[in-house]
Amino acid sequence: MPARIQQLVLGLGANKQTAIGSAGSTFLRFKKLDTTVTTPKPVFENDAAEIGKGHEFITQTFPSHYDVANRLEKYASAEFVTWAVAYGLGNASVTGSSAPYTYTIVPIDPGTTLELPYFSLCEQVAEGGGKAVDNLYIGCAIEDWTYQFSYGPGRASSKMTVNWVGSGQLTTPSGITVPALTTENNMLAASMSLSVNGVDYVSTKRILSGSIGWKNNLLLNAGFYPGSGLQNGLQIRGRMEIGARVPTFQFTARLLSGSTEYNTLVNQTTGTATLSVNHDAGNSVSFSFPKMAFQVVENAEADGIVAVTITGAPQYDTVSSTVMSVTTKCGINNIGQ
Amino acid sequence: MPDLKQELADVAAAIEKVEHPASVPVAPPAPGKVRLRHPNTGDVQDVDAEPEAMIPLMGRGYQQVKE
Repeated sequence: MPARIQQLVLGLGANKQTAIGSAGSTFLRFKKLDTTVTTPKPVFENDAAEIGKGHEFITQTFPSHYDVANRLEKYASAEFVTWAVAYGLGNASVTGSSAPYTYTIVPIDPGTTLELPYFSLCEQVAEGGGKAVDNLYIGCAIEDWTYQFSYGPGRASSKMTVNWVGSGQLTTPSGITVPALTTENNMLAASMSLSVNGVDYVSTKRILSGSIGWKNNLLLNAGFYPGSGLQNGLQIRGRMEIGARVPTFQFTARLLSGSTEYNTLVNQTTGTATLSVNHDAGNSVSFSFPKMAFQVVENAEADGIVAVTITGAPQYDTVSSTVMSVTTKCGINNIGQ
Repeated sequence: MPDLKQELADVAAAIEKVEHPASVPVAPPAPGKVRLRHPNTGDVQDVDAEPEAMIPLMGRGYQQVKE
């Protein structure tokens, strides 16, 4: 008897792992939008190109490594955005003795560590009294996350996408009892406030759409170092270090006669940029760039209205010692701790 | 010679004290404060539990100390 994709149970590690190879024990169960099911992909190489066989065909295969990666696409809830940003940026603190808890999250300092906190991820699909899928991926890290907002009604106005990578270590069957679904507090774009370089794009009703993102460019091949470990004869990663990280910020707003974006670009004026969305007072997310210049300003059109698309150039700020910070509030304690 | 022996003993005791300090109970941070510690230098700072106070230190690698 086949199983429907809606039966996929997704458990994301709440607490960070103590080491890349030590599975987490606390999980948050989330719904998602994308229909992907992670594959614990073992990769094999062969001798097709090798000389001396008398032909160009395969005569032998060799185990190489595990290649585990997938994406998570969701409506943006305070809980999931907190999870994604805490693991994606890497240095998260949580304060508050009871809900709502306040998270302060910044990128890890490369002078301190090159490794993000690792999490475990569990996928299960019930089928015919058993499980068609029941995998626990151990030692996972976030490659990138993107928060997207747009005009229009409903939860689709505010979404969060995450791409994650696994070390390759997995346990099947998982042996995990994934808890009940997390109660999520979705944050619609209608709740947004957005101020960039001194311009309030919400009070002037100009903002249309945009995105904030972070990419870690993980050094995946360097994870297969001599001695990194084997599983079923295939290599697994013993580390996943950050590469050259890239913060991104892009938005499209209606163009007015007094619009300052072009002058801000030409003069390379810098200022703060803050985007906040919330569900209520206890469930919110605020992305802050302490120093933002504009990289590209391009005239555009949206629904027949003249607009302008701005690509920001976030800069490192020596006062706040960061290029980006994220503050969130939600009812779940100890995410990424 | 006895003085030299005593001096060596004192130096050894001082090294032992530095390398294995006696564990002293550490008071938790005051209400409204959060304790941040640098994992490399060991420097500890108690700052207001507000993002404005925490971010400049966290950006330099300080991490929250859980009591």
